[in-house]
Amino acid sequence: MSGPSLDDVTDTPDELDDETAGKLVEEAEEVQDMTGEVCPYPQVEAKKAVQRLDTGELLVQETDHVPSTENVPRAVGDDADAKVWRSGDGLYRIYLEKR
Amino acid sequence: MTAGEVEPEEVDPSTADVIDIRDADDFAEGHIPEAENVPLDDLEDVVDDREWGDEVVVACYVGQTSKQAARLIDAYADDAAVASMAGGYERWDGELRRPEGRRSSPADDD
Repeated sequence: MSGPSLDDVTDTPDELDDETAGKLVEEAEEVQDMTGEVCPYPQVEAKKAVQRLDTGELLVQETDHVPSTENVPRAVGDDADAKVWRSGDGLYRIYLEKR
Repeated sequence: MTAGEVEPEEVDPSTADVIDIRDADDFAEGHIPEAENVPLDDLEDVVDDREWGDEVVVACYVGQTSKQAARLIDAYADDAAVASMAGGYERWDGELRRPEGRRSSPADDD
C-alpha cells in the first residue's frame, strides 16, 4: 500500500504527549482494555463507563483498533472531552474526561 | 477524501459493490445478498491492488467504522462513488443471505 493508511483517514481527537499520557493513566478512575475488540463493543462500554463517572473524572480506554479513536469519542458525544495517545506501536489510549 | 453515506434502503446490491467489513463469523451469520466480506483488518492489504467498481457501499455493524473504511477505499478508487451504509447492519431491513452449505441437514431424516 503506497497511499494513505486507515490511520491517515481517521479523525482522531487532540493527541497527548508520552509524559502527560503516562501521568494521566495513573489518575484515571477506570481503565478499559479493549484490545482485540471491534465496533460496536468499545463504544458501548465507553458510554456505560462515562455515565458512571462524576464530572472531571477520567476514563481511559486502550485499543488497537484505529477506528475506535474516532468512533468512541463520537459515541460519548458531549458527555466527555476526548484526547488520544498513540504509542507508535499500534496501541492507542483514548482519554475521556467527564464533563 | 470525501466518502459519502447512503441509507440502507437505498442500497442496491445489483448495481453497487457491497463490501462487508465485519469479521467472517458475523458475515456467516447473515449478510446483504451479493456482499463481499473484506474484514477491516484485511482491507489495508488489498485496497491498493484490487479493482473497485463504479459504486461501492461499505457496511459494518452500526455504520461508524464503515465511514473510515469508505474514506480509505475512496483514496484508492479514483473514479468510484464510495459510500458508507448509515446505521450498518443494525438498520439493514432487507434480505439477508447466508453462505451456501448452511442449510439444515437432510441427514436428520431416517
